[in-house]
Amino acid sequence: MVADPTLADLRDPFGRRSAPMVGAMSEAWDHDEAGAFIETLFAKHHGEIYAYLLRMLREPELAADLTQDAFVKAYKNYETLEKPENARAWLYQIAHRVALDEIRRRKIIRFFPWTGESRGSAPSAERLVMDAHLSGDMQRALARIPERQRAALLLAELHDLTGLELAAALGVSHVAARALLTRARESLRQALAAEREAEDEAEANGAAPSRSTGGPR
Amino acid sequence: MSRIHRLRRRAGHAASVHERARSLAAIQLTEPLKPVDNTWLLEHLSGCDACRQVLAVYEADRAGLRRLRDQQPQPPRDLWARTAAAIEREAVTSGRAPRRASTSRPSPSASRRRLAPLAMLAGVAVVVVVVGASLLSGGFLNQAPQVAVIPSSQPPVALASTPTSPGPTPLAVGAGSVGWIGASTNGKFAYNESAAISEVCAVERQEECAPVADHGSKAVDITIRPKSVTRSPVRNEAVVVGTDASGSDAIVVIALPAAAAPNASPSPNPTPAVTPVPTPAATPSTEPTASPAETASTSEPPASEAPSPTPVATPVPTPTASVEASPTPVPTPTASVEASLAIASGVKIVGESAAFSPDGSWFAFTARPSDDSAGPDIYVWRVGDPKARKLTSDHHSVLGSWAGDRLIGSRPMDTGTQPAEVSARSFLIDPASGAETELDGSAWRPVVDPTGQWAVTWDGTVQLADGGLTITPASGSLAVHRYSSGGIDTATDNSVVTDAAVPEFDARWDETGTWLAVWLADPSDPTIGRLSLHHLDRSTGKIERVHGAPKDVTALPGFSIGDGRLAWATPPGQGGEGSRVQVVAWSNDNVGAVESGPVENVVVIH
Repeated sequence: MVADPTLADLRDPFGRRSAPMVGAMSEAWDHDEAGAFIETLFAKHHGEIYAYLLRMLREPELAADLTQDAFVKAYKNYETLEKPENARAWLYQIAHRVALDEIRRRKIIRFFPWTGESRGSAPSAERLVMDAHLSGDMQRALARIPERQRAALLLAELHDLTGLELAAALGVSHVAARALLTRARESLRQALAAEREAEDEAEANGAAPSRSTGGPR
Repeated sequence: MSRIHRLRRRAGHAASVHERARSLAAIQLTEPLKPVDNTWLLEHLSGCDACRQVLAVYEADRAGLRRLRDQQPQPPRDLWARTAAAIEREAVTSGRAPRRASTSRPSPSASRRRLAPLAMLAGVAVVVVVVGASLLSGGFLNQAPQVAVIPSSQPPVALASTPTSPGPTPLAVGAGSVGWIGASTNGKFAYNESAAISEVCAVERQEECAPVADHGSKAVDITIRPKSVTRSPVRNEAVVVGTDASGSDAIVVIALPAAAAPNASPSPNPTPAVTPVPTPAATPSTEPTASPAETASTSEPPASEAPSPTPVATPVPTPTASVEASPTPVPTPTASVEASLAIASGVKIVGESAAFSPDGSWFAFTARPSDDSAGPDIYVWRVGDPKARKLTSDHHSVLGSWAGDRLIGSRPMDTGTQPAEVSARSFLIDPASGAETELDGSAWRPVVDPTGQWAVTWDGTVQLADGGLTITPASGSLAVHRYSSGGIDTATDNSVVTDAAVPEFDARWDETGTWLAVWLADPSDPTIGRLSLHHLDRSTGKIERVHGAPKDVTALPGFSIGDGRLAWATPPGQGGEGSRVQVVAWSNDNVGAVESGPVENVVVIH
């Protein structure tokens, strides 16, 4: 089997290489089993994987394509999953690599304002206005911070990955993941402050609040 | 240590203290601190307003970030179908899984154990999810938002074809009819045509959706097994490309049975909730929708009554001309065609580009001698003539498409019998005189839209192989370019459909030149391929992916597009019981899907 180069350096939460992707084991794995397993994984996790990729890349169609890519890569590299209970983090790791690869490939990070619909009871108009305002600031601020930090924040705060899962998904050690998350919080604080400052300045000048498209600093 | 150094060290120490405090403040948002760190942090915060403020901001920012959870995006509902198809391709490419291992519809539990159902679902579910995408987003043509109402926690499932009552809530679309030819169980071929597709099914009622209503199957007397069927745009006849009993290709012209009567028209302002359920819901799939007599009484006059110089005027009786009663679920009424006319034999048909001219007076195709003595040439048949004739003689020419009353052909820049990757050029050719006019631009097999402004073409090199017998795309891309009678502007306006070399492609435009469907043959098995529907921005030439439109749907060769619908046939085995004709139909407001019951050896008429 030809290993997927984007997964060639998958590492476990402790920074070790995952199982080798070549050799007898990879040749012998049961594709029927793999297909069934990926199908189950898809049913269970495709929504959150799509949401993560959408939040990282902000383009729905692209996010859908990359979600597809992620599951195909999961299928191709099924044998690298050592423990089924780690499947979710493993899947996020693949999705994260897919996202970073796409970002690198395109050399762009585009963030567009995006408003989703809330589930549950309809929020009040004031809440909608406030949320849109907050979300707009937040989206733009997220766009300003480096993508690895953004990934760490999204995975920890919106996708509820534990420390070890976060480390696995990011392909770093637990200590490194924690440090990355710490830097991400500080980056977000500064980015939000910059966003608000820009808005205040624009309002003071009588212009519409800025709508920067963001990008890595 | 000097005073300066001590001051610097103190300053550094002070900075690191605050950094440590902020770091711990950030960490404790997601995991508990060690007791010693926690004690130290609390002590520090009690005396440091700035760090307390930072902690407060961290907490507020975290709350703001977590509010994004309320905006839970929903993935496209066809995502599983796309993913399953991609996994299937991956499995085939790596040679690890059978392409179509399943010969029977698997049970839900079986689908958990086999990869084959992935492909089966991919073929069927895409159609289904298009409906859902539209329903949930306000329409096929409106570039739907990605937020759905119904969470999609499970992959779409294949549809049951047996209708139950009550029927599905219909969506009005007002699309044209769809015709196909398939084998009945008595071994003969039957012609089927749906009435105008005025209603399609909604996703949440899809399981109750009946097969598309055909207008009563009619036996057709053809002695070849159809591979491609092209309907005349002006007469009720079709050119059938197929294989005869000896396995050789043959081309015959047949008169089609009378066209379907119009279906019940949807209300001008359809309201799905109150629109009557279409008849399939009350008509079991195994029963004919109308008796032959009823069909005859309600149909339009047969085409043979029209004054036209069709081959029907010069009948060539075949041994199978008599019509036999069919004991099968596919009815065999008396309204069969009268005759067929063989217009070419001793040739192998090349590619999928055979087509009638827009005015229906000519039919063109690419073929080469069946004994492989030479490469391909373009052939034309003038309606009314007894035989087709060869229009080119260089043995390296293939048909691209019609462009008004002339053909567009293509040939390699260099020819030979040795394998080579060479450039290609295209030319206009008069079907009557054979006079050629060179087109500017290096293009291979341009397919011009009906308005003559845009063409989808292979922009790149072609590969000569098999001693010059075959010519296939090599390096380049299949893309949309601006077209004029002078040439194809491959330098600008390109919008790439695919940049992968494919052994064969089939591109067709709808009558508006706005919708483009492209079928790409599978490199490992060119008898099947992937079909996608694209929308063209006619002002820019950019093709757009429309949310919910079929994308990479596994399909047999031969599809039809027009009148607001796209129809194709799934490979056998995808439903467990043979092919099905899938139809996606759309209007400005709605999109939905219907499918036929299982059909053997089905070919969609285009």
